[in-house]
Amino acid sequence: MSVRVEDVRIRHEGRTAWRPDGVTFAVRPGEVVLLLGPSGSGKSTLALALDGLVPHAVPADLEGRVVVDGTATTSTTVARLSEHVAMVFQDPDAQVVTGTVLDEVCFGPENLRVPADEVLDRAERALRAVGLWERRTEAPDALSGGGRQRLAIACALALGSPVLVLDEPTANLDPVGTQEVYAALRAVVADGTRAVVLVEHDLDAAVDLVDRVVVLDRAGRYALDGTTREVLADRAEEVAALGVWLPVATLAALRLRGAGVALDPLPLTAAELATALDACDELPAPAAAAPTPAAAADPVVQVRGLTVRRGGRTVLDDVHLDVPAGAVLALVGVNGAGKTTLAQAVAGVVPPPRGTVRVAGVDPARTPPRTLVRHVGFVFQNPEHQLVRGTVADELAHGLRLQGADDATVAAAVEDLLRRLDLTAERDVHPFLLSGGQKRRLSVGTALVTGARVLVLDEPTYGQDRERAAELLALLERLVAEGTTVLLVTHDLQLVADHATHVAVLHEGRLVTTGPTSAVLAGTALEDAGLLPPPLARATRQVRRHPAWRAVTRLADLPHPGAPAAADRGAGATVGAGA
Amino acid sequence: MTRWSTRLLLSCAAIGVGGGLVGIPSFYLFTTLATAAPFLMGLAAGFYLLPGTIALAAFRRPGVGFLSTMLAAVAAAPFVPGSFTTLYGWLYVAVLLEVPFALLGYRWWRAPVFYVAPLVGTAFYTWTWWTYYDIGGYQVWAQVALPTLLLGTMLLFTWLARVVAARLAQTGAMRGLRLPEDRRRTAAAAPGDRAGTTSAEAAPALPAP
Amino acid sequence: MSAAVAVARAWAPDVRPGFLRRLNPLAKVAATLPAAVLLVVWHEAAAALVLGGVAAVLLVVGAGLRPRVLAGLLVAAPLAAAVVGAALGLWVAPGTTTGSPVLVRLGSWTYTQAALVEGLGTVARLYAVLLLTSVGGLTTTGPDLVRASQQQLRVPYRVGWTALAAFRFVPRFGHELAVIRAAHRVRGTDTGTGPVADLRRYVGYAVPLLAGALRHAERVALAMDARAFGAHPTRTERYRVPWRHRDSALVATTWAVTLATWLLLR
Ligand SMILES: Nc1ncnc2c1ncn2[C@@H]1O[C@H](COP(=O)(O)OP(=O)(O)OP(=O)(O)O)[C@@H](O)[C@H]1O
Ligand SMILES: Nc1ncnc2c1ncn2[C@@H]1O[C@H](COP(=O)(O)OP(=O)(O)OP(=O)(O)O)[C@@H](O)[C@H]1O
Ligand SMILES: [Mg+2]
Ligand SMILES: [Mg+2]
Repeated sequence: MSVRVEDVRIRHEGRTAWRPDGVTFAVRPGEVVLLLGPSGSGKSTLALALDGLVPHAVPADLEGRVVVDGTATTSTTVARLSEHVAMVFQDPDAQVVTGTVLDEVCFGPENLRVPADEVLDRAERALRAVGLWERRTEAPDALSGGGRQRLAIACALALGSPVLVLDEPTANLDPVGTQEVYAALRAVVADGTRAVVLVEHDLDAAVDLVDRVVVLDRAGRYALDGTTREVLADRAEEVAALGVWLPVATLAALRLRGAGVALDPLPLTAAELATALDACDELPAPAAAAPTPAAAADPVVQVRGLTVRRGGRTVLDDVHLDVPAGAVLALVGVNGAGKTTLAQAVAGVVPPPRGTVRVAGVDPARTPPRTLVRHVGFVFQNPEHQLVRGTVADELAHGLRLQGADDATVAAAVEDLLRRLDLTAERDVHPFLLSGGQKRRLSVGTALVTGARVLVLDEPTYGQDRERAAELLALLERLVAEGTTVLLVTHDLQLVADHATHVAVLHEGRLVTTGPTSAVLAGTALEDAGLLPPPLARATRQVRRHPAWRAVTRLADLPHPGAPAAADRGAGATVGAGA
Repeated sequence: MTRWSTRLLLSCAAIGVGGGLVGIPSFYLFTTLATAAPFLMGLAAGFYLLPGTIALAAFRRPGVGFLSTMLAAVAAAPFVPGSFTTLYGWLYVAVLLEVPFALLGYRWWRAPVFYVAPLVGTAFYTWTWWTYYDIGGYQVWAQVALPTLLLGTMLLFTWLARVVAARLAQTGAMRGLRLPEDRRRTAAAAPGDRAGTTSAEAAPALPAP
Repeated sequence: MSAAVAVARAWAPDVRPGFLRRLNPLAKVAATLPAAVLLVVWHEAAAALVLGGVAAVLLVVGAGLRPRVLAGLLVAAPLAAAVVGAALGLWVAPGTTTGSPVLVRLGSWTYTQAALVEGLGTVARLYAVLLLTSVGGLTTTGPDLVRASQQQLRVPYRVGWTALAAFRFVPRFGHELAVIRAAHRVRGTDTGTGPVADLRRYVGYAVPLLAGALRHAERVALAMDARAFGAHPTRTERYRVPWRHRDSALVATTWAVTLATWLLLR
């Protein structure tokens, strides 16, 4: 049983570029292959080609061949192929068809006309493998995000396919959910009979599972292929230069190498980094921790005793929060902790009880929306929700026109923003046709255009690759430098460590901790709230011989010659070029 | 892709559910009017055309109007007075919407065909409700209001559905599903127009190569 | 009851009390349809009372409804219907009711007993139809209805499963709609009153809602295809919704009652 990809090029209907463009590799039984590449390089498209969905179900041209168990995918059907190659997609919600966990797992085998007894047999085995058998009578919606992805894995297992393809299975999950999914996957591959093809941006959770790595470049061409160590460690600079992200431990080591601390071999996981650091007799002192921003006299966001009840449950419980002007405050917590609810109350998206919130000098509960947008901007988790006009330029002009600005002002402001957002070429495109990263930038632009002093973003890096996330963070940093205050909800704790000045930790509707980032990360608040420390902190905390290093949480804290202390970890190219 | 790919089926479900849910307030209004002032029922009748007409205008494929309408009924049923019994009411609409296109062999999808259903619908419902409620015994202004309001709202909602479908096409969400408007000279299984672009909308269909 | 519990409950076989819930959904439809149609075409209040009464009895003994629902259906609803029926009398043209005793007189405008009777009669028929259709409507879950249409009416299973998928879209879209509304308010488009502004708003909601819905549909379709949906002309169905003798018995009895009502009151 094997899958071979032979010089495959794919072009979606209506597109001119081939993505991927000429890829060859093979997946052998029992092997875990990681597929890497920049956003838009065609990883998802290639994943769909592995079980014939491209070209059978997705309109696209396919050149070259994908051969599954000796048969070209084009000469058979998706249904036949599903017995050989099973898929797990990114969005857990988009994979649920039935109303209970058990029915969901049975759906695939039932389609294959497996007799009912055997269907149940297979379902039980698959559910036990991912630890969901006890919850079989519940609705899939009752599971956490991580639980639903484990369910998707069980569904794939129940089909009996020896090859499992997973396309960013953890992109929507909190760190604990991510770990759950990988624990389940680890159990699945443990006996060595199943092969796995994995597309994933979050390498920190996945890397110790992977046997081989295949890398595509920006144009979708086949760039690198080898064992995990050969690709991610030995050729780390090349990979970073392609704009593909690396495990945080590897990035840290590359940075240290630049500073004259050669870690050999390059570490891939937090544990390896800690061991490697301990193996050094001497380490330069880490850069001074980021200066704690002086708390401004009057906070620009004030939350006092905010309690929100939804559907009979207390979603937010007596929250008190101050955000100083010019801060970047990260709101963190597990799925369902109440982050979105708090962010929306602050921005007045869902008006909070009167007198509980003051933002930029106004009470969102008493301010009409049209006035409120001049004070606080909100960016929804899904950018498509807030795009309301037919072209990019109109979208940006919309807010200003509603404020009654004259045409010349509007035009000038729109031009300026288009340039700053790098969307000038797309000015007449329908907003929904932009790429994910472009849509996100546009939605930030619409929140900015009215001159709001406070910007609230709900999971701005959701579904984005690291490169887009870095672009966005650079944009935010420019805004903060100009005096904007930013409140952002995120699951990416390394991002928090590297970019936030303050952190607020929510747990079951209560604000358990708030304070400057370094102080919060030094304590145990994250663990207490069911989160994990940022990946770099996970490594440095295990360091024994160099106590000064145990407090390091930010990549910028690592000694690095020539790089300004504020260089962000998003600058993948800098890492590659600097080393 | 077969003509009824899973994607097409579920896309009809999406339009049906969307249309069914957005219309829930209207169905309450309809029920209220149906008991208190039946000659005003026309005011709330237009919503029933929405999902089916959007689907027909969006995909330009046989059967999508019927399926979307019935799925709207199924999705909205638990939330409206009468529950699954409302399915009967939707069934008429579902058939009504398909007939004009079926008579043209599902080859011609320009605006006039879309406005046949509201005209026939007005005649049909005026007749049914007239006999059902004995509208003939009502005051004259009420007798006039019944067909006038019916026609007005049905035309309005047909127009609205076409606007929504056109805007949807601009978002690229129907890539590969939308067929050309005029297929009289091409085979029925013409390729989907590319990315729902407006140019393909205006351009006459080319003969099959 | 949370949405998730409701979903799981609608999906699994219905185990709540009430023999009507144990019957085939199609049997319940077939049993009540002739009576409902009869009341639509036959304007006879007495028949409405008889057939409505039968439906009410069925609902009380066999639907396993909670007391609050029953009270709403059998007490509150008829009271409201009576009020509405009186209102219906307002529209009845004066010419058709001349000679009838006048109940209310305001200047030259009169409200006659005949108008009241006419209005109440219409409402009685409407209410009876509501009760009749509730026999099936309130005791059937969506998934069961779909399964029955698949198993007895031979609706292709791909269409049946599309309907099942549609049920699953509902809670998601309800949530999406709420988010889109909030987003439009944030963007300041949610202002203005009057029918034109309302219409604009609706189109403004509909396009992103449907575009999102279509994208979601596309993803779900891929996930279903990847799990061999549509692989064969048939598939294993673990839930059977059989047509049993008791289903035939229900249909036969109710048809007989309907026929008898018509013959006796004609
Ligand atoms: N259904 C589609 N129709 C048309 N073009 C598409 C479609 N899906 C993807 N594309 C285009 O194909 C190219 C490759 O997309 P793909 O989703 O495979 O990238 P990816 O490597 O998975 O990116 P990401 O990391 O952002 O998920 C992109 O340019 C994308 O815009
Ligand atoms: N309208 C509502 N009705 C009922 N419950 C709700 C509603 N909105 C939110 N909740 C519940 O409130 C809790 C907090 O929701 P919220 O969206 O704020 O969480 P979150 O921290 O943003 O989670 P995630 O990381 O998954 O986005 C969740 O358990 C959610 O189910
Ligand atoms: Mg992808
Ligand atoms: Mg959230």
